[in-house]
Amino acid sequence: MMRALLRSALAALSVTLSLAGCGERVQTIPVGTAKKTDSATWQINDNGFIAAGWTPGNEASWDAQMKKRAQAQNDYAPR
Amino acid sequence: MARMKFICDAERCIECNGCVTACKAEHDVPWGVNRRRVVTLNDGVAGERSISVACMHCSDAPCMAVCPVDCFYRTPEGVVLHDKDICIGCGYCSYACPFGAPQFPTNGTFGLRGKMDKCTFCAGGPEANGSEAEYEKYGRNRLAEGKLPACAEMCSTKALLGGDGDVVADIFRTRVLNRGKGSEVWGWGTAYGKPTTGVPAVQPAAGKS
Repeated sequence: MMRALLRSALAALSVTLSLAGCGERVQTIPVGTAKKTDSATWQINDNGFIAAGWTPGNEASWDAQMKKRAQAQNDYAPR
Repeated sequence: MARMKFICDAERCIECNGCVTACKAEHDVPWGVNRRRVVTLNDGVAGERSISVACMHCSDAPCMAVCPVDCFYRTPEGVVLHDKDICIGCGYCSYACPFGAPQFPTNGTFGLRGKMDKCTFCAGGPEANGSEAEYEKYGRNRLAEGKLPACAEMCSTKALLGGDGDVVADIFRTRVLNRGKGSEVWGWGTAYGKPTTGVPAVQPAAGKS
């Protein structure tokens, strides 16, 4: 009796473990979920990777930074 | 407002695949997905040409037009991005894109096709800029960090230019003028005809009435 119980418990456990490999993360979207709106590119909280030379949150500063960075690709730019 | 674009100088690209590697490393892109690839024409033949290709962030993007769940959006800087929470992985964008930019990870259970992944111009996705959630789904948001795409900034020969379209076009134009050739390979020559196109064969004589 005990052995049969143990055997069925082991069988259930092995079935559970082998089926666990077939699992996948739930990807359904909750009903009513709308497309998220992205924040402005220059809005960022300090994540430790922000380049020096501009002020996060300031559009004009970000624009100037982009122009400056782009000139690093220019061999003919005055240095 | 900047309008972000890539341009690859075929005269300079040496097919090193540094851009591909930089992209994969920067965004922790999974196996089987290449957001950027180097394409070589006439490989092995003298005069072969290579260009680095990824999402071109089209002004009138076909992927956006065909997406049945409308997961794409365009940022004010002209970067075409998508929301992976909405994408259903149908692959329509992949058929519509002339550059083969949309990629689908196939490493899920039973090799199922996952949600679309593509070049983000290093601008992440709709999650908070620079957040962990954004990094996990789309990779690093270098643009918000005040940097340009890793592929362009890492390019050793500066063949791949990325940034504001006006600025990179100026850089490329200066380069072509200085070396006296190159625009006919890819660029204006292809898009708008050779420099001689449209010029009358015989110039009218001056001083004749």
